Amino acid sequence: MSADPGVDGPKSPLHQRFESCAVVAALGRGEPFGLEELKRFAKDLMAAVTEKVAAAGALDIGHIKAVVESGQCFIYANTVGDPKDITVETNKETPQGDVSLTLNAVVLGLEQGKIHMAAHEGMLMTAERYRLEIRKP
Amino acid sequence: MKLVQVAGYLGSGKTTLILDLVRALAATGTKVAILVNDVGEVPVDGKVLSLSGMTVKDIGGGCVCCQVAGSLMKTLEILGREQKPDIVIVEPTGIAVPESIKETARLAARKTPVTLGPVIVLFDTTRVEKLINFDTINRLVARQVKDADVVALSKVDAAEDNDISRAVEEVARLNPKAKIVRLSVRSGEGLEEIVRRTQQEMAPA
Ligand SMILES: Nc1nc2c(ncn2[C@@H]2O[C@H](COP(=O)(O)OP(=O)(O)OP(=O)(O)O)[C@@H](O)[C@H]2O)c(=O)[nH]1
Ligand SMILES: [Mg+2]
Repeated sequence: MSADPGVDGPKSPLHQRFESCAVVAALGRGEPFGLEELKRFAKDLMAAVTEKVAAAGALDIGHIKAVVESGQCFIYANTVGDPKDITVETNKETPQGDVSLTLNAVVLGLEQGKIHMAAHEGMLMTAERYRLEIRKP
Repeated sequence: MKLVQVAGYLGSGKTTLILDLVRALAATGTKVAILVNDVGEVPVDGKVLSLSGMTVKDIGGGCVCCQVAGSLMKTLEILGREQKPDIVIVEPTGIAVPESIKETARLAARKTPVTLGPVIVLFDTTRVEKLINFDTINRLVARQVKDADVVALSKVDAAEDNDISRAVEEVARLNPKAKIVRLSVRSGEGLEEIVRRTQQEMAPA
């Protein structure tokens, strides 16, 4: 039942319905963020991606998490699906106007292409709300 | 070097625990290496740990329990040869089967001085219903719990008492031998016990 130890192999049967996708983006705007605003951005991003993934038909959210970096500031945001429980942790440094984003979504029962589309839409929607432009998708 | 797994379902608090655990171990003079393996194509956990000042080796490209078990083997060999830590903490993906990782470590032990430390599995007490009753997830979580030496009931600060009791019952049913520890990185409950368990010797690999 378990894979061959020590050699690369196929996905374990226990993983079969879990799919994941990543979104990496460089975003920016003229005016710098305040720390509280960037935390709100990270929180809204988690909510938007969760909502889009759920609307696309996910059976369950495993874990959606992102690192948002801006200057010396970084934020770790994440959710396991309940909008009440989105957490954002930060090193409390001062952010700038440029933001880089690394997001991972692990979802149950939705194919990878659909997760990717949903996560990307959630990212674009949130970026627009904070007047962020895509510098590098 | 001793391999300690911090395993458990997606989002159960593994990376957050590792941050505190590594700091506590470093304070006792223990030389620690961290290996992380994220499900996604980009290493979010590796970033979180390294932005928090830790040195991390990332294993990407799939799950270390199956798809990239070969990479785990090679990484252990390199660590054993070059960095020679006292403890290597492995955070597998939240869907990994701990026993498969142990098997890879046993195989690596033929060439590398690696021993097996405890498998610590986190069980998220804020999502007990899902972990016990949601089809697909429950099979995976049961397997993880069965493979554990220590089950840390995570996030007890945010859980209802009856959920914690249900979690204790379920874990004891699945794995009567596992040591159960209530854990909250927010309040610090259980952390000392986890640090102690991490330092304890287990059977040779
Ligand atoms: N209330 C509470 N929340 C916690 C605790 N530990 C972790 N969390 C939160 O749980 C969420 C997930 O934590 P992670 O440490 O990223 O979980 P993980 O198991 O590493 O996740 P994956 O690697 O994606 O499987 C974060 O929002 C943490 O802040 C705890 O003791 N109490
Ligand atoms: Mg993690």
